[in-house]
Amino acid sequence: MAASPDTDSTEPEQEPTREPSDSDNPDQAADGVYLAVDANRCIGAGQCEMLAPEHFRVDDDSALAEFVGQDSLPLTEAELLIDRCPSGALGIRSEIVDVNQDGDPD
Amino acid sequence: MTPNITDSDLYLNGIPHDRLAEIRALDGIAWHPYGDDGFWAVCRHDDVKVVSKDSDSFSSAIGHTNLWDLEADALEARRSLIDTDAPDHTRLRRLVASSFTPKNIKRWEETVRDITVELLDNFVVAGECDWVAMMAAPLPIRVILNMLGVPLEDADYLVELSNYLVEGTGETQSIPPDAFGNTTELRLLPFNSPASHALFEYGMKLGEQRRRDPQDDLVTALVQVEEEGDRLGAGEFRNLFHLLVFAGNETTRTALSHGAMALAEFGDQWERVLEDPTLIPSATEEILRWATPVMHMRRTTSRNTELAGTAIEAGQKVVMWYNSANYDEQVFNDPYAFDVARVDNRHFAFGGGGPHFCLGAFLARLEITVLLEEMVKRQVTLQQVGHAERTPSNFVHGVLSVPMTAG
Repeated sequence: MAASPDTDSTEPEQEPTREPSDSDNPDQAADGVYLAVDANRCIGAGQCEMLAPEHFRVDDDSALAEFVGQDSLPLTEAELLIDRCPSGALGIRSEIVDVNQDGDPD
Repeated sequence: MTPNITDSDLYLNGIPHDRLAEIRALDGIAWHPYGDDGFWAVCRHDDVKVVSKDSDSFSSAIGHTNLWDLEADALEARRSLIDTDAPDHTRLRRLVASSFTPKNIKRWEETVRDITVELLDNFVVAGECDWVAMMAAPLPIRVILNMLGVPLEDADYLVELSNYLVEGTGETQSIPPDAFGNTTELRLLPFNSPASHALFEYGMKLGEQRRRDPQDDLVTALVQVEEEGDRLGAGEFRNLFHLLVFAGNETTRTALSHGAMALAEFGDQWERVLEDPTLIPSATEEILRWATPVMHMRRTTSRNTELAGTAIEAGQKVVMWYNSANYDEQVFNDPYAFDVARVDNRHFAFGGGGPHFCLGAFLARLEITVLLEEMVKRQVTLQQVGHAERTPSNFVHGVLSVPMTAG
């Protein structure tokens, strides 16, 4: 897809909406999912920040991606981001967890 | 029988799309003879992605990442980020990645723009001239030298060295083995080129200077980088400096060359960008897909595995053909059309994902984007006025020269 770090107008799918999803999965919040970064796998390629600047930032010193958004993402958008992450460092969490602190992303 | 896709002469007329499409249509993975042996030719987008991401099965550190094998001592001497696996790769990559994050690359935008504007203005007044010599070659090399902190008075010398390296990817070299005072066996040097020796020497000298007298540049960042007590070793720094000079040069040069040729050939697409500059980001991605500057990378299986139903034994060569994946009709709608508004452009110009994803991706994007922005600002329309001379290579999709004029 075509995206620039400056805009989110070219985001895939629709704008993240607050509509409840029909997901049957009890682990997922009704309005979407959260993503977590596995600090042991991240190589700081920055694709997540490019595709979803409202959710991700690559730290300029550590070169590790961080999930900075407080909002959940629609599952389809989350899956796309997971797919595009070169290092396989993104995973779905049902709530915000600071993996960089507990050190155990899985 | 698998059609041949390695013969260098095939590439004199561009990517051999018909042969690659034929391989994509075969069941499983095709075996392609090469030398005394051969390799598995991975041509579909989906399969390239699997190989690229599964670095546990498909190693970068065994044999070589080019089609031919290197002897063990040569591989060791040349080893850089490109031919390393985790955990060594992760460590090295972490040490350099912070200089290439989206925000840190954005800091160079003004530099990129100044260089672009100067070159573009020269090109416009020059009339008919070689786009590669006037724009595609000097832009990336000047940007990377500026980032590294190479003093202006040395830039010509490094451009010269880097051109000899490009030559080293071809069949013949115009400089003798002992050029630049080289005494190292050529097989131990990247590209078998004595210019690599000169680049090593230069990089180490510059690194020494920056260690004593730090500046706001990439070489300083690399000699100062430290993470939990870990630093780059002398050999690591040397090989990395070499990699940055070469990779920051050849690949973006190729993207800018094919980009210009495509914008000239498909004038209606450039019209769209002129009318709607918000298409510049998607046009940038389409140029990357269209150009596919690096056409393949090789992995070697570290264990018995299976791909697309084909059993692959440990120790075999597996080659990802990005120039095929980027035109895979299963993934790209109308793949042979150059479409500046293409949506969901999952091209593999920076590799198919995985830990070796191009370190300089955001720098390459920045250079292409700024050039397009400045062309729009000046309403420059390119016209190709003669034959493009291509590099006879199955590895780099190079353009040696292409006459252009600004319309």
